[in-house]
Amino acid sequence: MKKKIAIIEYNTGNVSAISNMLSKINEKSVITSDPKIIEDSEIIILPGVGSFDRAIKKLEEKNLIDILKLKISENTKILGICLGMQILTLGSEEGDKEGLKVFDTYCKSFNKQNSKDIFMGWSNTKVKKNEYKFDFLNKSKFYFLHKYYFPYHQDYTIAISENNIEFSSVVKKKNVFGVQFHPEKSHNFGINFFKNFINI
Amino acid sequence: MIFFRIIPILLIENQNCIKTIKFKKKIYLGDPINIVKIYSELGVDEILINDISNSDIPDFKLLKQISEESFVPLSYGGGVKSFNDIEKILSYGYEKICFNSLVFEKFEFIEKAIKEFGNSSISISVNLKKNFIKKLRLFNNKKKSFYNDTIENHLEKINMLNPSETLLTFVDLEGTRSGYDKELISKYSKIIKTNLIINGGAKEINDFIFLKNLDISGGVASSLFSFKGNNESVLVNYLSNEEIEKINN
Repeated sequence: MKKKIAIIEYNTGNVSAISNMLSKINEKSVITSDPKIIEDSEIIILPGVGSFDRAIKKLEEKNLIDILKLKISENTKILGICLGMQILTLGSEEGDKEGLKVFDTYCKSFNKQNSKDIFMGWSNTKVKKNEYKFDFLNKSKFYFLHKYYFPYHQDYTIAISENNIEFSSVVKKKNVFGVQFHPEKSHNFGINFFKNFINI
Repeated sequence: MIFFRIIPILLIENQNCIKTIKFKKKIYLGDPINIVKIYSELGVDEILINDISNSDIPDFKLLKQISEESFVPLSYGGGVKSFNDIEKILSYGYEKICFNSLVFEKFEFIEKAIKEFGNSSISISVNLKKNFIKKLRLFNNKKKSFYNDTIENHLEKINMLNPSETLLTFVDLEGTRSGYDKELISKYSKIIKTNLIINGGAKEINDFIFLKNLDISGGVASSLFSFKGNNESVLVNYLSNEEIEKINN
């Protein structure tokens, strides 16, 4: 049986790119902001492009915060992409709003003095945790586009990338995963990522 | 580390993909949806799409169809005027919205858009062209006229906005495949503090290596990736893996 995949639509970008890539690997997904459909799903993908406060505001407007928190607590597999990962933390230097508080950390801003303050383009990822399931990340490159980052965290960070400093490019806490890059825009490496993620 | 990006650019006019030379002579290349599909399958680093039709609004239907064919990053510029437009195009799966003339005409709108959608979602394009006394000036491609502002001033304004990247096009070299104006690129790359990508004149991979050595983020090209031989037959192509490795090492 195929798993039911819900891609959360809350007016913050790139939902169709994700469903297109999933259909390329024969996975069906629904783009939705309907709490009932989300409740019924087995995998949730939370995208995000834009600013931190705007993303939280849009989730609030669509009454999605409670259902997301419920699904997180029910052990549903969740993947936050880019800003969709960052809003799973406590908060960010980018805004004043509270995050969804899955990850006990704050997102920081790249410092213009010692690195490009917007990290954009293709970068490799390096696995920091010795979990064989993620080995493929050592041989991948992905597309990144961000100004704020999830700092390296001993408990959560699966893989890092570098912008002079090391930051988290893949994180995990129990059933909740987050990636800083855009797998849906990373061509064959992205396809491979989704295949692995769905089967983990 | 971040890899140097090599970015094909597509110009769209009335739903056709065209190639211009110095933004003037136009050659029909084909259906943009099909061309994006080929670039995506070739695994290009990114695709820039610029609609130069004389229309007041972006062609949303076409933009959606194009994005459905792409598994690589997309940037779009042309006719975007409101938050609604930006939101819609980002929701189709475009990473960045590129502005050019609005930076001159509605600076505050760009400031607000960057605040609303985040620095990383907005990029800015600048056209540079020599005037009749061979002085390089800021150029408005739609109106075929020069802006009064100085290049330095304008670039400083862009630094203040801090968009995800700045695209600098050397109009006199556009579509010529005659090599870069290295002196001018060096000069302006020192002023620009954002990520910088260069368009106009790319001839061979050594040009990209030149950019990379200046710490420029990427090279943009269309003729190089559109034709086989001497601008005679259309053949959508990209660099080989070996060439890409050579640039990045």
